[in-house]
Amino acid sequence: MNTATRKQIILDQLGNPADIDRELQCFRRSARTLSSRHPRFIDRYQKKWVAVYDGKTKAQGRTLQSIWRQLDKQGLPREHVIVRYIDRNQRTMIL
Amino acid sequence: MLRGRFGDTSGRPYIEGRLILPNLNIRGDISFLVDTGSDVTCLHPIDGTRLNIDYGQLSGDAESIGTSGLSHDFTESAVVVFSEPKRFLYAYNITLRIAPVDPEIMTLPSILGRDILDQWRMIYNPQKSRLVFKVILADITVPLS
Repeated sequence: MNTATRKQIILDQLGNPADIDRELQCFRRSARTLSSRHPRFIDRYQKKWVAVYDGKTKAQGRTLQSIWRQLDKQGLPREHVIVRYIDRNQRTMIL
Repeated sequence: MLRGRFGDTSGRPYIEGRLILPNLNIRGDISFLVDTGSDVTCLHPIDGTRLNIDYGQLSGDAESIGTSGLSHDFTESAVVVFSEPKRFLYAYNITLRIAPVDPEIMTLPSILGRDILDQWRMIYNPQKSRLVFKVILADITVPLS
C-alpha cells in the first residue's frame, strides 16, 4: 500500500476533524476537572469508582459494572467519559 | 504543541487522545499514561470495557515483558489522534496492544508508548506542571482552520 493510499484510509476513518477537536477538548476538561478536584474526591468517594462527563460527576460506585449501568441508564456516551478509581492510598505503579 | 497534564495526587503524566478501532467499529477518548519505558501503546481493560470492546472478537497473541512478568496481549489495527486545539489534528496508524480483562489490572490506565512518543519531542517539567509535546512526525496532519 502506498503512502497516499494509507493516508486516505486514515482520513476516511477520522470522521469530522472539527468534531474530534471539540470532543477531545471536552474530554480534556473532564480529565483536568477530575485532577483538580481530587482531594475532595478522595474524601467523598474513597475506594469508589467515579465517572466524569463534561466536567461533572455522573456516576459513582463500588464496582465498574455499576458505573457502566449508571452511565448507560443516563444515556451518556461512554466513549467520552473518564473513569477512575479513587483511593487515598494509591498503589505505587512500576510498569 | 500538544499539552499533557500531571495527575494531582499521583503526579503521573497523562495526555488525552482519540482512539479509533476501524475493524471493530469503535471510537472513543482515552487518557493515556505517558510511558517512555513502554515500547508500544497498550489499551488496558478500564478503557476496553468502557468502550464495549467484545474481547471474544479479538485476535493476535503478542508477548510482552514487564515487572510483573510475561503477558499476552491481543493486537488490533488502530488510529490514535491528538489535537492541538483549533490548529491541527495529528493521527497515527499503529498496531495497538489490548490487554485481556484481568481483575488485578482494572485500575491501570492505558499506556502511550514509544511507537508514538518517538515521533514527538517532550518537555517534562512536573515542578512547573508543564508537560508539552512538539510533534515532529505524524502519519497525517489535519489543519483545523
